[in-house]
Amino acid sequence: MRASTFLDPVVLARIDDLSLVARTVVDGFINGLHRSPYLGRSMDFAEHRAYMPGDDIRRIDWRVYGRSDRFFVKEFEADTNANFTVILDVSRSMDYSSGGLTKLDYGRYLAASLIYFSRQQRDRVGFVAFDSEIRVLIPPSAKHLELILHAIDSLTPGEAGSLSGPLFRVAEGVRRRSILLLISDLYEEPENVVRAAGRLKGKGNDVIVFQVLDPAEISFPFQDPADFQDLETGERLAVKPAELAERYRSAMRDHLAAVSRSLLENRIDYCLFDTSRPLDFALFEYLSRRERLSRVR
Amino acid sequence: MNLIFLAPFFLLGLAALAIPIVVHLTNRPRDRAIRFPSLMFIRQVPHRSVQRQRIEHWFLLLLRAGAVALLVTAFARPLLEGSGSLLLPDDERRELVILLDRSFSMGYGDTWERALAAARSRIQRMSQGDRGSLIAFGSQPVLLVAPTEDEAALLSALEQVTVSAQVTRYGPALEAAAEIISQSDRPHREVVLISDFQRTGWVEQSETSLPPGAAFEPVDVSGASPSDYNVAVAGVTVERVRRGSRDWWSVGARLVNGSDAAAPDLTVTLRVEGQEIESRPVTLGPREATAVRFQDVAATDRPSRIEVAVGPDPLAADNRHYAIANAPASIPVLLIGHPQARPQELIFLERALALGSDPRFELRRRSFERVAPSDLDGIRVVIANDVPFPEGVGGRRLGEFVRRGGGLLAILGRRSDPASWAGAESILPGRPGMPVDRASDHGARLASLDYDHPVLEIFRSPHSGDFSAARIFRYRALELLPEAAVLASYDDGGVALAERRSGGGSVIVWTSALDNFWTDFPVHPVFLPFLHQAVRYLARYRPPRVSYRVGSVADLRQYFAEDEGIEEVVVEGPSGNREVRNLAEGEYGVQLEEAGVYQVRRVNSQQSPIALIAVNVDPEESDLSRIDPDEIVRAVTVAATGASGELGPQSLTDLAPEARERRQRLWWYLLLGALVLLAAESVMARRYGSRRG
Repeated sequence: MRASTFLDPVVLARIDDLSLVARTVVDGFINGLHRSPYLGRSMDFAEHRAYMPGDDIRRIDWRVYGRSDRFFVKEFEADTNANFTVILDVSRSMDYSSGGLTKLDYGRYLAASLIYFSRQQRDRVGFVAFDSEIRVLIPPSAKHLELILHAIDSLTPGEAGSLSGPLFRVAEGVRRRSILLLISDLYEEPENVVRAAGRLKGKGNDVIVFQVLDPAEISFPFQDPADFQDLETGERLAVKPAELAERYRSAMRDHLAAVSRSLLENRIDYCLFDTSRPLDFALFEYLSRRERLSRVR
Repeated sequence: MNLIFLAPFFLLGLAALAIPIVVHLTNRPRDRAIRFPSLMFIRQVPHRSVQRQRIEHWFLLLLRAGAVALLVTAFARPLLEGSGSLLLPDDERRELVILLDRSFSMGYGDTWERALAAARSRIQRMSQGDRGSLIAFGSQPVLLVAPTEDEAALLSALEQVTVSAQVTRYGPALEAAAEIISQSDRPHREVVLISDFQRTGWVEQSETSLPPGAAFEPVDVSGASPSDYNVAVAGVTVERVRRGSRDWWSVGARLVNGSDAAAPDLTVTLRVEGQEIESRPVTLGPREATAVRFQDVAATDRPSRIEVAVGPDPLAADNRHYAIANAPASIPVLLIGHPQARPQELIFLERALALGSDPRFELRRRSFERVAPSDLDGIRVVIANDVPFPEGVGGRRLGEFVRRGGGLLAILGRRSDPASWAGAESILPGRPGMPVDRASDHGARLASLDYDHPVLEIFRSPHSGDFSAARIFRYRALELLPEAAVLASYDDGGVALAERRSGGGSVIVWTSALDNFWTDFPVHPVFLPFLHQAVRYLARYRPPRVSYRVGSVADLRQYFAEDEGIEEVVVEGPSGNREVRNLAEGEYGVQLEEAGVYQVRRVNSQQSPIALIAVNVDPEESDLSRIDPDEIVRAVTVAATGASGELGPQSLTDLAPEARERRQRLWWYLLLGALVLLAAESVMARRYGSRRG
């Protein structure tokens, strides 16, 4: 797939309808693959059952007919009955943008696209939004796609965020083995992140963590002295960025490396996104994680 | 060369220079805080806090302070002082236009004397090299003296001016003054308006304005006090009524008090031909009007002067109202009939014409075989009723009669031989043909009528005449000529009524008879007014007017026909002014400028006048309500002062616009400099801002 086919998040931001954004991302992605939209559908034989009027005659097993002189149709078992839940961080720190999309908007598009994509694969989809508390909780269901898209569309930035409390409550509510995708900027110490994500993994769930950051948070391009104000706490610091930029970048790199290492050590998939990356990348990342998880399983 | 300021108090605004300095010192970092998702990592990094009380962008501060300083200085209106006087230009010559109101309201008390004194004073104040012009105006301005430096000429012209009978109209006078001013190259330009400032003379919608820089000085000479009153005779009606065996004039008058004070002890008088008929006392309250009806006066067959006077009051011009009691008019009509015509064939026509009273129709009868040229003398309309066209001299004379302004009504019946009428083709609207019989289908109807034509115009409105009820059982076809106009058509498209104008007269052809055999049209109600209107039209009859307003134009043709052979007349005005009008050259209009009775006589004739024309002042001028002169000042000098009107009219006299602009041009450059600095500031601020992120 050529890079030029990727969908610019800023362009997508001009589309008001979230479901349309999700469809645009996913359908474009699928077309780019030139593969069946029912990707991952299993062809494993499950059982025979008696033919009933209305059944596709192509599915009649003629060998059985030859043997038994009765019509039987073959049924296949699909492996796409998994629960898929996106857990989106909507804390105030996600409401940041240095020019393009805010992290929250990027996360919303990401969540919508992945949920739409999963639903295309017959997964049951659920959604959780949280800051320091759970703001939205929609349990996984095959019928919740529109509800989730509407909930995502209505999201607004919350208050200061915290991973552990909300994620623990999510983990307690998971009744069935699920794929849990956490989208957050992970502004916590690496051990806190791992503890919270590890709790999700507790019931045999597959956990994927997507960390979303703005490019400015990573590169810290500021030069002139100014007050820096914490979005979540409102705290202000008068600083000279030119003097601390390099050390900031180093601290950020260390933090990202620690988070990544800790999660992978705990068999939790992790991927870092900056909001300038096309959303299609997220689908690739997700798909590759699923393929890998299915092989492991 | 010194620099001074016209508005030095604006320099206090330089204190605003402190604002950018304070902003740079205190407000810089705090207002531009960068919102960041988390200070988690910034806090981990040891760093120095920024020192706030220090100016970092000196260049930006200088740009801002410079822009403020230039703006303040520009508003203070700096002026470059030369070696001579600052406010007065080297060229002090003036252009003075004096507008002198001479409407008849200026005759109130001693208003006119005060107006003359004011004008005289302004003229005498003119300095050497000043140029003046004098415009007297009522409803129209008259340039009495074109721009001149000759003071004596102005004073001499001023002595000749008298109060007119016109109403006040400021607009045209101001336009005339504006034209003179705009063409003047003098640095000082001034318009002086001397008037009693009547509100009725000012039309608010007037867009008259003087050129920028021209000074305007209103001089109010009105002498009326709130306790003074002014009454006027606003109108007079004269009706000719018949009582017993005699005709009488019934005269009524409408009196108006146009002031806010009561008018007691008035006397209203009726005079006929200068002889007092009746006087009676009358009293009018403030802004009150009343009607007075006098005793009847025996009517005569000659036009009579009627005069109604009321008074006394300080303004005499509107106390008299004139009217002419005209003798009843008559239209001589020659009816050409057929010797074999039975009386009942003519009865409708003759009876209808006998009923005319205003005007009367003087009917003379002739057989078509015996029409002589002399029969047409004094005749205005000829009716050829169901006859062949007269042959010989009579017929030819009839053609000339029409071309010289006479009217011919041709009624085509069974005796109207088409062959004979072919000889009159040069004046007829069409060629008469054979009869068309519509008796078998219950007769034709008049289906299409041209209600725009004067003959049919009175039937235009609904319920004012139903032509469709008439049945025409037989009519003669008429082959129209290109010069013809169709006035009415039958329902089968045949022509019913057609007209052709030839020379000064016209011919109307009715293609059926008026005898109740070919048609029942004569027994329908519309017949009588139709016939009267057709004869009036063909005779070009216009009822004489009882009176005119000053400023109107009277058309002498309504008093005598063009074919009466009068080539020149003398029109004598109420003041005795005489003017010869050459009717042969079409000089029919008389401009009526005086109130009173004009007399129209034959040249070199001592006989009684052939026409009397009564002329009255416009009662609108009798309303002495005043307008505030400042209202006019604001309206005419708005272009010079701008919307704010801060500069008074007198201050505008100081400098011509070019000189004033030349002296004050500096503020433009300052403003331009401030704009450049602000533009540079915008660029620099953006650059600093983007660097800061």
